[in-house]
Amino acid sequence: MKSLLHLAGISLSLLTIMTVSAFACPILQDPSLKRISTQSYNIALNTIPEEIVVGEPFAVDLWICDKTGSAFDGEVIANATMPLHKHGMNYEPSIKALDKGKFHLDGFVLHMQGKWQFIFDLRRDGRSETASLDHILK
Amino acid sequence: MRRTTRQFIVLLAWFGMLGSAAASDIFPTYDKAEISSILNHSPWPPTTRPDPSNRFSGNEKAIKLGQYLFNDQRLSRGNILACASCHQPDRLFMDGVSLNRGHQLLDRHTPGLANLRWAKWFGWDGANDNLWAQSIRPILTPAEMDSSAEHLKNLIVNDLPLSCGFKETFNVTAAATDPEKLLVFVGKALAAYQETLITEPTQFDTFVTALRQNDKEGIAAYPPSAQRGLKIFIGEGRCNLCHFGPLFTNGEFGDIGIPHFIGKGKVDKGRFGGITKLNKNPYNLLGPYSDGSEMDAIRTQHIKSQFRNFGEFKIPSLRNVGDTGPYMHNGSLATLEEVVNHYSELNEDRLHSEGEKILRPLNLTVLEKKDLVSFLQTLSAPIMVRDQTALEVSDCEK
Repeated sequence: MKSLLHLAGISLSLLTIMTVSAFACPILQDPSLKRISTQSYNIALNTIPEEIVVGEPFAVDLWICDKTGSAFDGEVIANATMPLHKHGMNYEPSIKALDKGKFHLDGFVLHMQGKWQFIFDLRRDGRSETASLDHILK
Repeated sequence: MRRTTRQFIVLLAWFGMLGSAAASDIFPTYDKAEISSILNHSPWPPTTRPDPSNRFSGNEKAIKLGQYLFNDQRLSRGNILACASCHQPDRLFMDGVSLNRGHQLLDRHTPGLANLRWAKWFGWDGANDNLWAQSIRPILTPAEMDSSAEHLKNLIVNDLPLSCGFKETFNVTAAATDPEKLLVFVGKALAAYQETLITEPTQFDTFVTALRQNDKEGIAAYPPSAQRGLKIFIGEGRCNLCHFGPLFTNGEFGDIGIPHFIGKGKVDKGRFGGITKLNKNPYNLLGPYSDGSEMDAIRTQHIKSQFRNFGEFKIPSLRNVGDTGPYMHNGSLATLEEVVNHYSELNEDRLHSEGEKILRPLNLTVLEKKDLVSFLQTLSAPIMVRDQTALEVSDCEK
């Protein structure tokens, strides 16, 4: 009986971990992810590869959760700009909505050293909120 | 003139000479950020890998055939122009004139071919995203070689060394190959050859190695004027924003205020026109002739045409810049001094209003201009060129 309870406990823990991983909301406390937020959403992101190199393409994974805890199911528009130079990228990222608030963005290329700003425009139900993240490219 | 006045002038001249002598001997020092910026221009050469879009990249037979074709005037209409007619091996694969003539007078200056294996975009407008497509372009362009796929097929089928080299390289006879496929094979062989054109390490590269190893003797061997020019290049000049990395280019495009009128009522659209051409080009990386995967075409898939691209031209590599004038997309500046003057006295009114707000007049002193030129001249080195050998026909005769 004791071992059965033990097994049930392990199964429940595994189920909890799997559920959190699969649903992405609330966002996992993963130190490798960068975090930003808007009034209504929490966002975690990472870049692939992790290190951004001048002139080399990279992808971005985004996890977006409503602050009530549900996954964002709206539209994402993304860009990166150099505010001091008043220009953006020469490329337009493609955005693929995956399951449960996860988005995969491909085709980023930062072509100069300096201060860049990632901009994510989140649109749902006729409302738009913008999150930005500064990045110094060395 | 009174004697005291004459003595005063002589004294002034003496101090003036001392002053300039002292200035020319001053070695700069570098802070941590500057050292990091300098090291960004290394290593040379960068690592190489075969071009995934060209399965003959690095193939010795393709390189040999490509070199043969590169020097063969029969590729052009009238048999009058080879690739090497403009990209002259003994002139660092350039031609030394502002605007050359193919079958007609050209609008753009002949760019060099060294180190293209690391390029992402090709041509002043980046209308091609791979080297084999870029090699096909002048063959078909009426103003340049004015040739055709059919002409190439006829040439190769009826020439024993060429038909033999073709079969040996591509494992198919020219006679049995569709003309357009044959044209692509020719482009890929030409690209395989051009990938071998790499410049040797320069005086600057030797300095960077010394700097990395904190080798004081090696650092001091690099001329002080070049070192001061380098400080301007990575400092107040901000030249390295665009002329970045070991190639001294970030591979993208910029508007630097060079006029782009090419005749009465005609303008060169630069990158704006290049993107339009790229998207229509059957030889781009998304087309059926590329041997690569979708991931190899990531830039082409995501390229964005913007109004500011109008009048932008490719940011050229600065390796060998001291020996490859005239300069700019239209060859309008004859010397490096003129180029430096252009940036020093930049006319901001000529820049695209939608363009990047990076450029401003540098207002360099006479000495600073000389230093910048000195630095740029240390980026020169010979290009390794293999000896051309005859195409073997014995294997085909078996």
